[in-house]
Amino acid sequence: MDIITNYDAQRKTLTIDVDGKFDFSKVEDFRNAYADLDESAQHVAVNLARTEYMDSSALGMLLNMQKALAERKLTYSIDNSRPQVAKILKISRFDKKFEIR
Amino acid sequence: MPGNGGNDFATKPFDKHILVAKIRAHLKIRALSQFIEQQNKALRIYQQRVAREHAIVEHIFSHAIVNKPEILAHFDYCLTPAETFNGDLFLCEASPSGGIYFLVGDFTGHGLASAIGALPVTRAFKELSQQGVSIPEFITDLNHVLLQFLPGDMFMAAVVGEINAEGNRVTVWQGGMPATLIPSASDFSFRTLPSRHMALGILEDHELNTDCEIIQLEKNQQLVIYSDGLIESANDNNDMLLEEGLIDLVKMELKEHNYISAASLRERVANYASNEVFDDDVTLVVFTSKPLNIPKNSDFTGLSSTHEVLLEAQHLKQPDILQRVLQLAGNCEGTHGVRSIMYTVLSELFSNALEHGILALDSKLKNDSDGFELYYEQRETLLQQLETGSITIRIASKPAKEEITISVHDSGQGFDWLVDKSANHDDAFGRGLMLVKTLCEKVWFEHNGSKVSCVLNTRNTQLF
Repeated sequence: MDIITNYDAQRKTLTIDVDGKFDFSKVEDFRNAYADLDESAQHVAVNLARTEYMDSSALGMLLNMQKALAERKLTYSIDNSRPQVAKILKISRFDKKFEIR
Repeated sequence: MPGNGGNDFATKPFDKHILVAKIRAHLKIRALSQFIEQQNKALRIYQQRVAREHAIVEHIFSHAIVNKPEILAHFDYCLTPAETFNGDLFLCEASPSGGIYFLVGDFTGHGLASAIGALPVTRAFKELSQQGVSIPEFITDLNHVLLQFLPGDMFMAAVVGEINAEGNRVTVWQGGMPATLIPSASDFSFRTLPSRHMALGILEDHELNTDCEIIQLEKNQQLVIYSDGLIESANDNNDMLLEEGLIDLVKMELKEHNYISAASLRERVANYASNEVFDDDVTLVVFTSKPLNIPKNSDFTGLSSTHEVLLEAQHLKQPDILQRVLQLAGNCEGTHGVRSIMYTVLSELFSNALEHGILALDSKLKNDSDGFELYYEQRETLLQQLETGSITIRIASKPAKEEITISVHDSGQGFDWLVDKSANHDDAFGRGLMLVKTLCEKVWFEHNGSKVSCVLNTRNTQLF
C-alpha cells in the first residue's frame, strides 16, 4: 500500500505508481512523490495499474500536483487505469488536464 | 569354508604375523560393510521421505490446480510433463460475462522447483477471473504475484487471453512463448502471434507493457498455443523441429483432416523426434471458434445483506477506519462487479460527512496549492480534538434486484444541498457530490442534508 516513484533520466520521465486505494490517506505520500523532482524532468506519468479505486480527494491531489509544478514546463499522463477508475477520470473530464493512456 | 559363505581360511601351523594381518584386514572389511549398510539405510530413509514429500506435494497440486471440466471441454489439449511435476501450466476459467479466460504458461526449468510457482499463479488466476478484470489488469497482477513469490532467476513465459461469449474474439497477451498459430479456416495461409513481451515475473510494475492483440476468429477457425518443449524435440540429425517445422506438420494435419486435433498433432511431433520421450514439459492447447454457451448460473442468487456501522469519535480518529468500512462493504455478496465504483461512492460520502458534517471544514481552502495541504493538516488537527459526533453508515446489498443502497448519516448540522456547487474544472475541490450523482441511479437527502442515501446499480458492469 505504497507510492513508488521512479525517475528515468533518459526519457526524462518521473513515474509515480499508486498501489491499492488512492484516497486522502495518500495526501502526504503523493506530495512527497514529486517534491524533489529532477531539474531535467519533462514528463510526469501517474501509473494507476495497481490502483483499486480513487475518490475526489485523489483527483484533487492530481490537480494540486499540476498547480504546485506550474512553473515547470512539464507534460502529464495517467497510465493503465482500470475500467472503473478510468470511468471516474472520464466523468471528471480529466482528459482535459492529463493525457489518459 | 569359503564355499559355505566363509570369506577366508587359515591353515595350520599359524604364522602369527600373517594371522594378525588377516584379522586386521577382516576387521577393516567388516567396518566398511557396516558403514555401507548404515549409508544404505540412511539413503532408504531419505528416499522414503522424498517419496512421501512428493506424494504430499502431488496431492496439493492435484487439488489446487484443477480446471472445471465444463470449461476445459471447450479446449482440445495435451499436457506431457517431463517429470512428475509440470513446469508448464494450463488454466481456464469462466468470465462473469459468459466468456473464458485462459493461461498457457511455462516456468523456467522443469520438475518440482519450477512447478511450485504454479500455486500462487493458479490462485491469482481464479480470483482475477471471478472479478472479470481486463487482460492488461490480469497481466499486471500476475506479474506482481510472480515478482513477489519467485526467486530472481525464475519467471514464467505465458500466453494469457480472454475469449468472448460468442467465441469469435480473443484478446491475447503473449510474453516469451513460441508463436501462437492461427491457421486460416478457408485456405492454408497462416497468421502467427509471436512473443511481444518479456516473460512475467521479471519487470517491475512500471516497466511492464500490457499491450494486447485482439484476434477475430471465423467460425471453426483454430488457435494453437504450445510451449517450447513441443518444438524443441530433435530428430536423428539433431535438428530441432522449431516453429517452421511445426507449421509444416500443422499444414499436413489440415490437409489430411481439415482440422487440427491436439493428440494427432502431438503424435506427428513424436514421430519426427528421434527420442520418444520429450526432454522438456510439453503443452499443446487448441481452441476452435464457436459460441461458448456457458450456462449462466441463474439458479444462484447472492445473499441479501445489510450492514450498519456506527462510527463514534473514537472510531473516526483511527487512521484506517475508512479502509475497514470499505472492506466490510467489499465482502457483501453482489458487490463484486462494481467494487471499485462502490468504494469511490462510500469514500465520497464518508469524507463529506466527516470533513463538512462533523469537522465543519471549508472546501474553498483547497483552492491553492498551500491551502490544499493546509486543509488536510486542519482535518488532522480537528480530528484529534474531536470528542463528540458520529457517523452511521448503512450498506444494503440486494443481489436479486442487482442494487446496493448506501446511506450515510452524520450528527452534524447538515447543509443546503439544493445549492449547486458544481466545480470549475481547475478547482481541486467540489467534485465529490458530482461524482456520486453520476455514478448512482438515485441520490437523495434527508434531515436537512445530514443524511444522504444513494442507489448503485450492480448490473452496469459494462462500463463503456
